Amino acid sequence: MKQLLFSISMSLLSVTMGFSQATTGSQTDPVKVVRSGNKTTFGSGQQSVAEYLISKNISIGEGITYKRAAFKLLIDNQGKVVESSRFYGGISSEIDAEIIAAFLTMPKWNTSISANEQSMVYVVVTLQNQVLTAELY
Amino acid sequence: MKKWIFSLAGGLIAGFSFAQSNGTQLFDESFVHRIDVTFQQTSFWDSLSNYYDEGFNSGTDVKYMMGSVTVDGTVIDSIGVKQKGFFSNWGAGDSFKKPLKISMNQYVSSQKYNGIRKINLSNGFQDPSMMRDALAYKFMRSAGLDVPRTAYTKLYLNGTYWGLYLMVEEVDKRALKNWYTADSGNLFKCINNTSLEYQGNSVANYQDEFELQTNETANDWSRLIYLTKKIATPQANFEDSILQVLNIDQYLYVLAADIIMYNWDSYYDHGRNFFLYQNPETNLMDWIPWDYNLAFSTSNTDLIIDYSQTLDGPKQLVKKIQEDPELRSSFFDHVCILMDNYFTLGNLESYINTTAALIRPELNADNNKFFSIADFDASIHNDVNAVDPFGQWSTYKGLTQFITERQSAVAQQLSNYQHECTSLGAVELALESVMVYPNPFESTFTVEAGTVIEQLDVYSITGQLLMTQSPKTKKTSISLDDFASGSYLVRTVTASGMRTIPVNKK
Repeated sequence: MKQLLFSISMSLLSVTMGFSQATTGSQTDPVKVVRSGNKTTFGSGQQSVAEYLISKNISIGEGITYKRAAFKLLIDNQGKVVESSRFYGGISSEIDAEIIAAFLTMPKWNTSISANEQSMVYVVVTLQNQVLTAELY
Repeated sequence: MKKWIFSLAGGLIAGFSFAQSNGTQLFDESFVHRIDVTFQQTSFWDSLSNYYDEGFNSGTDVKYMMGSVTVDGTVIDSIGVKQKGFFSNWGAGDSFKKPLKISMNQYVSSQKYNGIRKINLSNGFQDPSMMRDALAYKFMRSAGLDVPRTAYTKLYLNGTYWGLYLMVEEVDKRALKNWYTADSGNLFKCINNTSLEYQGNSVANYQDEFELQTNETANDWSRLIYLTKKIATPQANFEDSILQVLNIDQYLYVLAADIIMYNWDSYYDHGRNFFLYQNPETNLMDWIPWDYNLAFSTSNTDLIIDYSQTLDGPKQLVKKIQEDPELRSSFFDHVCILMDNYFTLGNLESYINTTAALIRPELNADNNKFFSIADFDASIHNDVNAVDPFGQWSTYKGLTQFITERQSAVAQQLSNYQHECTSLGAVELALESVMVYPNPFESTFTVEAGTVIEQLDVYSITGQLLMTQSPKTKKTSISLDDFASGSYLVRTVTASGMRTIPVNKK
């Protein structure tokens, strides 16, 4: 019996240690941010992400031929984008903000991550000659 | 069954003919090299980073910065250095360990080191083992594919140890010279996501996705466009069409290798990271694979890709191959050969262990590394849950564990598809390399091994034994004068084991 209790407490200790490394915020939040491969997808892929952003009328002004930015999304196990931020590069502060807002109101992603996980996806948005493309990482 | 289905060689074997190649010293894998770069500017890193930012934001080429370099004690002045890469660069955030490219001839035309003009320095981004690129190329090279060579180096920038990097051979005209007897063909580099969709006959429609890197003056894109047109052929005629333009055997090996390694950042999923070479000898497009730092991933997929489960949408070339009964069966055969002979612990574990021991001290001393040395140690053999510098967790597959698990998973999937690997695919591979040259051959070829060849058998592509010899020497010539043109399998038996190599008679 003692051995069993010891095993259980060691297991709990392992879990606790794991989560304490994983959390970037409070110790009470056990959500683990994961790069989850193909466990989290959107429609038919990056083309669908691009089509969604295009439907939000994201564009750059005339005369600008090329702009690019990478955004970081956190998606919960229900497929909802719960966090969106610019990670690298930038189009303009105004358009970046529009894109971030658009990501936060996206339809659900398909995901098979666990309840205590959030999936992290990078989206590189390129606007070239008024054509928007999206690339997922 | 059509002849091409088992024509296993298809351009694969040229990789064995490295005797006269350039870069032999630079890509000597037996030790960790040392590269020292010196810039005049003290704020060199800010400049390199700014140049990369400019390129990222404007979609233009990243500018080089002038410096001098010492490679293993040899000084070369007036070289160019720039940050390179895409995800492995911007994805690495504020890390100092960005991927770099050294150009020996950026400012001095024709300047080289050991015959090499460009050195790519890969940073091991998202790879606690620092070995994914090298191991993937090792695996494919051992199977006879023409792939870039690699070697590790310590990198010093203005006297500061910047970290352990993997040098990766540039795919350029010089590399083509190593791989092909005819190196004058068009080399297209995929520079953006592509589904290889036919977009009409205007070259401009393809220049966002590809860059012509040889014969720029002639600027002939017709064969690339023809390839996309053939990929667009309706399924019923696809098989006959694609055989006219693509080296299908070679591509099936690359596709099989990519799927075996779950290398999602390749054409089958992400639609990128490859070159196409228009081989003047065959006028077929050869597929040259590139960039494997994200291989051995957790992005699992069935051998037959389910495009509702991928990061990106369907890739018609893969989809149509896998939906064509004969091509699909041939694809499975290629999987069999790789799994039975090359993607095995017998073939790769020694390399993994030797490389781990070789690079560990230099990685341990690397203050810019992305993962702890404990994660490195663990990831060689076992899956690790590791936090990268940005606080994100990932499961990183242990290298040997990945190979072991794929052996059983792929076998199960092949069984599910009721595909049986032929007995020829089930041979045990010798660890030493066996060279066969020339290949393709006119009537005679030479087989050379590191140890005495006890037995040498020649099989037809369907597994029929055609010839057997007991050379009892390390080197022997075989004449197939009376044999028809086509593909054959040469099996050697040495004290180290057996090896089967496909050969092509012209």
